[in-house]
Amino acid sequence: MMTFASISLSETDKRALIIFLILAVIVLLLVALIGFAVRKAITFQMKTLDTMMHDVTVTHVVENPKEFKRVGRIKNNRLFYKQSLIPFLIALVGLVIWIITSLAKSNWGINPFEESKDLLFAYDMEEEGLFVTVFGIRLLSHWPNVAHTPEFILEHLPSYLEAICFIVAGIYYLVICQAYFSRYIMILRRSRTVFEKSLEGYNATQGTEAPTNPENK
Amino acid sequence: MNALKQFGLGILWALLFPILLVIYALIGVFGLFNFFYQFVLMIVHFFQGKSLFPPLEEDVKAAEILQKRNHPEEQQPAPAPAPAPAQVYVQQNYYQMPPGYPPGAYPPGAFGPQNPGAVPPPYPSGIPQQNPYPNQNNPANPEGPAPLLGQNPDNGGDEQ
Repeated sequence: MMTFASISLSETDKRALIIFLILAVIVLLLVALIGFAVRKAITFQMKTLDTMMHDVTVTHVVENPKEFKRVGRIKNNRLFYKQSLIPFLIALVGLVIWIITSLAKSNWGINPFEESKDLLFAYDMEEEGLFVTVFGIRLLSHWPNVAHTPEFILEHLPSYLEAICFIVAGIYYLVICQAYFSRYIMILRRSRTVFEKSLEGYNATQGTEAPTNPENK
Repeated sequence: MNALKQFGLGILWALLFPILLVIYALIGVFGLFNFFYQFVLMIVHFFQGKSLFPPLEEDVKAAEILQKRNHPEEQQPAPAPAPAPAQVYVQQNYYQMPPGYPPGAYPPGAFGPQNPGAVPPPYPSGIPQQNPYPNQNNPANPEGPAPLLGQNPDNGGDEQ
């Protein structure tokens, strides 16, 4: 038993605290990395919008924020459609495999995600003494025992393919939605900034009379 | 310091991530409608004979303006091409005539090989009916007249 600042920690508590700290750091790092990636992706997609709207803006074909938003929205929707073709096609492939498998097995209740768990580890989370309570927080006391090791079952092959197709299509579509949202934000931002006029540092008297009327000098 | 700042911004964005996910989910639903709408629009364009996604009117105008700005020389009217030299083809209607034929008479075989004995039309009156060169061949061809088209010179000018 170790005593630290009038708090006594047992060996189990000490181990749990260390695990908690390590997990907290890992989670924080992962969260920061995800956030960083999201921010980078948004910035990249915003530049795409600039490319799309550059010509019509610099040639003054679009001359007010309303027109800018209208043209930007049409282009953004078109690009969204074109980009979403790929994930929809991938999902369609998964759907076709699922339909063929269901027809072949005469079973329309196949859950490809459930059958795909064959390929993953499974842990026994019901084990006694797995969780401990430290400072009122329920934490893992040790790594749980493995309840299932990955195995490949040939009969479940269509389900594996379907699950992969659906997961890839879903993530792809999510990224595309994120890109669409980023471009939309940029449309709103640029429609304000591109056409804004500033009077900062401008003096009407000096600006109009001083250069043209030499008697004022 | 910059790394710490990035780290902090990353955490901020990560905290906003659940809200973003909700927004992305809404956009995902909108995307389904947008997909079908654009698909129908694409089909309409296809049957109108246009490209599937024709350029916007604004894009066309912008492209024209940029074209004029970047290549002004292409916009000037092209100089009128120099008039082509007049070509005059002179056809010499001079037939190699056997001796004894008056000038202007039809050559033998002029009425086709199927009518070798056809009688030429009468010579108009008032014009001398006499050959001015009765005993001369063509000075340009002293050996005699060239065989006409369709005649064999070795066979006395008869048809082959």
